[in-house]
Amino acid sequence: MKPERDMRIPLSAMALLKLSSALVPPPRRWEWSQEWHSELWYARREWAHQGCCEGQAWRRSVQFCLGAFSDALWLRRDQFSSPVTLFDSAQRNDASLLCLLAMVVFLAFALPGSRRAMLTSSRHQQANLVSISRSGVTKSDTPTIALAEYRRWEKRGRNLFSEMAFYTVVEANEAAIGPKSASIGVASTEFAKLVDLQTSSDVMDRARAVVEPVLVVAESYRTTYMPEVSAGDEVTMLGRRVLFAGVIPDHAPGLAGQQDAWLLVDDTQLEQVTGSNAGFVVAQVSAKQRAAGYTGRWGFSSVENGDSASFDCVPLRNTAARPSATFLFALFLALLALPATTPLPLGEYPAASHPLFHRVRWRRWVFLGVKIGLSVAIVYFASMLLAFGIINAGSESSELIQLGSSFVGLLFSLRWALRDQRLRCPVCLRLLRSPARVGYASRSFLAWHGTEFMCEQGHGLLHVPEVATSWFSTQRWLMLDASWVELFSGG
Amino acid sequence: MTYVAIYSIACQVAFYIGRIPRMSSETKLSHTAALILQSIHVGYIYGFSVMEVTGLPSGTVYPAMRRLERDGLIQSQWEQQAAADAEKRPPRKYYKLTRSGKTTLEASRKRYPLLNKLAASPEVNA
Repeated sequence: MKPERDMRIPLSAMALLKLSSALVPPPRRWEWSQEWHSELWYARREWAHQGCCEGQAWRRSVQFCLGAFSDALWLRRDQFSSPVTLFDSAQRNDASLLCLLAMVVFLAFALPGSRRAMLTSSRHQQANLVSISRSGVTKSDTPTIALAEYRRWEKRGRNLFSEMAFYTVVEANEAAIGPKSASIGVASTEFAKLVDLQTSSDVMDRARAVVEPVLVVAESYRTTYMPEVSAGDEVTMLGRRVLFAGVIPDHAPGLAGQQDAWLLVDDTQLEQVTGSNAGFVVAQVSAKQRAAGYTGRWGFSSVENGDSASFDCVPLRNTAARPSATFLFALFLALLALPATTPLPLGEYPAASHPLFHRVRWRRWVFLGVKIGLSVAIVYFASMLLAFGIINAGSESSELIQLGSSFVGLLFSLRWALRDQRLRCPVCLRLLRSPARVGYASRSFLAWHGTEFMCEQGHGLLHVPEVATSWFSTQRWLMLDASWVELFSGG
Repeated sequence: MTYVAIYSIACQVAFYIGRIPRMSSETKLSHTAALILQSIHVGYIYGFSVMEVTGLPSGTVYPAMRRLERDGLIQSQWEQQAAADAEKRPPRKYYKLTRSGKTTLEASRKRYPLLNKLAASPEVNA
């Protein structure tokens, strides 16, 4: 059907109708739009018959179409208020949780602290890095490997390790880097690459390009003591001129001690800078060793000039902060504590043999699973955000904060998931409404008293006893058959 | 006895829901809704013609008609596409009163006697 030429709807009126149609619930949108376009066409024809000029007709058309917003809004409100066309609240529930999860994930990855904490542990696991120390040394921050020993392994240990790097920690008290004694890690540029010190590519390029030593400083130390020094400046460090190249995050996970700065030197200059200081060795286990099962903690012996020495290889993931393990531990604790906060059973459903109930039974469990899964994921990212992104009080404190926040969050979210599930209709999964107190507390011998909830779709009634008795110990669902539907159809 | 029990349970359920399933004949309409109902009854069966005869704006008339339709007082129907195509015009949705709507209108006329003044429309047979 092509409308007559003079009855064409003005673009502004079309735009108003299009805009307002977005408010109409999708199932009714097409018909609603058809009706308004049709009515506008007849209205314009009527105005033409009345002798309205084009300007008047345009003004009236716009006024007419503005009313479409009221109509669309009414339909929208009616959709949410009418029990018959109520949006599936189970879907809304999941959609809300998904939105919350997306928001928390976004924030957790947006803040550098939490992003680093989430990505670092997985990187170390992928890299198969181990920290090598002499056997029998219990303190992990005690240097035990001499540089000469490391050089020998470099030549002969390639079947065990594909890459190795040596670092040591020295105390420096130099005016150029601040008023206090600083803990300086000295390592080769390959070391920074191996453990991924989170240096920017610009810093690493600079380090490779220049032969002179390069200094990178921890973020908080730079902020406190070196705010005026900028990249490219030369500063004095350990008695030599070094190039300040940039800033790295405060915590280098898994490494011994906490360094204020790292002096990255060319591998050939390590002896000059470190002298006879003992240090630490970080290595990447070779593929052959990994295939042989050397993935956990293991050891090896080295014989030199008839002297035998044993060394332990500890995966860096064992020493680095492990948010996932902390979270799993919190989950375990929360599951232990959960029965103390809410009963675990979901209630009695005597009508489970009802065909309708039987058909939709699996939906209840899928919904519960999705709800718990999303809640757990939200708590994980929220705890990471809080512990490493917002507070970020050092690795140990952050782990404790993560443990505490995860435990509290998991306990309450699991409790909520179970309580929410118990208050839903098992057929349509909508929240039960219209709570009504039934019975008297003084007549609990031959009658029951408690709260009765109702499914607004007419699927049944839920009876929740106030006091658990031997014959009414938990909530009970009463299925209503199809003959009740008319009563709930809302006229 | 069974019927009495069922009736009492039904009343209890209706009370809990806070509404009764269908509009009763004593349903009280607002003056605007009654005016629209009367307009449709006398033959102004399209939304725009109701607007014209009542002087109400589109933002009042159409939502009110949706509400009346939801409450089962009027029902809508699209005219045949072929009939509209033959006259090179878009098909139109028209409304008519249901039995419940007629009963409600009778009650509303007692409440708003001036409703009877609304004249019949030639559109009644459109």
